[in-house]
Amino acid sequence: MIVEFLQPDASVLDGVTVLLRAGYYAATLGAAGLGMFGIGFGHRLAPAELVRLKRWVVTAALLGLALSLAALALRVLVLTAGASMIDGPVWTAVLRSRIGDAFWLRAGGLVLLTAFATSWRVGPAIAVVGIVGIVASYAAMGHSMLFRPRQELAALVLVHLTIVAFWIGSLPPLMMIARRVAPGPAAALIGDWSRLALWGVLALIGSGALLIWHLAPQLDLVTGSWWGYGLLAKIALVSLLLGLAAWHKLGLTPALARGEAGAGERLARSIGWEMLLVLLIFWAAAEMVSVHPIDIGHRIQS
Amino acid sequence: MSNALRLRAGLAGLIPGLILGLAQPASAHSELRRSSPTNGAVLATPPSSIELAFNEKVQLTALRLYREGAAEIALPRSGAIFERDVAQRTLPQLAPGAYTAEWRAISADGHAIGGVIRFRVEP
Repeated sequence: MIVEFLQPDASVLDGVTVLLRAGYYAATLGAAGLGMFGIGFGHRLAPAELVRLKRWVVTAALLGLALSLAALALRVLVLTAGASMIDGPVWTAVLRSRIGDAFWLRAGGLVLLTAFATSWRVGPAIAVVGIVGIVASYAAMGHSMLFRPRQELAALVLVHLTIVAFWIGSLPPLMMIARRVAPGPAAALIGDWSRLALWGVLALIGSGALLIWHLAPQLDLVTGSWWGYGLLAKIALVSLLLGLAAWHKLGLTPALARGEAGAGERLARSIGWEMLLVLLIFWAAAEMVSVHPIDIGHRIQS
Repeated sequence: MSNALRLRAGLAGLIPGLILGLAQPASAHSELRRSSPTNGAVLATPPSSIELAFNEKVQLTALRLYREGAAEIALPRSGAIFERDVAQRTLPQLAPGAYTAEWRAISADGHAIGGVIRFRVEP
């Protein structure tokens, strides 16, 4: 939104699009991550916690669907230069374009994800297909499709966003677990999650670094473009997030394991700050999507 | 469900999901390369049309024309929207004045692209 208003001929609609985009990033990837947490750790939750987690998955999926549809309608309004949100030919054009491909993939994924909330034996498998569909929808259009090497970029986006989804989707259930009355099992579960997340963070940083290297192979391409400024803001916010996560792992979780009074509540509150940072990171990512990396001959031409 | 069964069920879902996710065709970015009238043009005679030429085929979804200090000038559009690298719209007779043409299109990669062309018709 900020970047849009710094451009010549800035558009309010394009600015609002950035906010809505950040919203559906959080809702859809959050839904996918809640599903991942449920598949990986659901069996260690109390029955009431699992019921709550399933309700969150369905709520986040529905919110993701609603925001994705709203973003599509806003896209139609943008593409008619503000004339109409119900222009039939433009809706047809949008749904036949890559925007439509990404929408259908994401919407289908969100619907399949809700299978996690059922008692079907195949529910987790169907939910995994949904999770892959949601994450893959972000590689179906956008910068990863614009630049060479395309397949590698698409694969990196899939890896990067799968870990992002797992991380952010884990935050609400971790907050719930931290507030448990019995701190022992809670600390054990959070400790196990942290060990897994450590590998995830390494893969997140590695895939992120490779994405930057492919998209902006020279440093001046980062420091000399709006896309680069958005990237630097995102990196700064992610660094803060990593610092907070390290504080949770090394300070607050051991305190919870020792049964210190109020440790669970302190951890839950800090996870709340982590969630706020995640929203800011999605906002920075949404800003980056509205502008392009500088082309030095690696942009794909048709 | 046991952990092993849960893992197998998850992997069974992962494989078709990955195929579905990676089987996306290639695409490209689109840019406006030239326009007629050009941005900032001062014309002695009113243009009979607006032409937008892109580096590749795009779907032009909107072209709106405004005269400074007056209402929008309606430009007729054919029903369906097709992919074209050159889009042209016939203009009605334009009176002298300053004009702004705002265009929007779907780029080949799916991005919404757009811009503004300003020109003036001299009396």
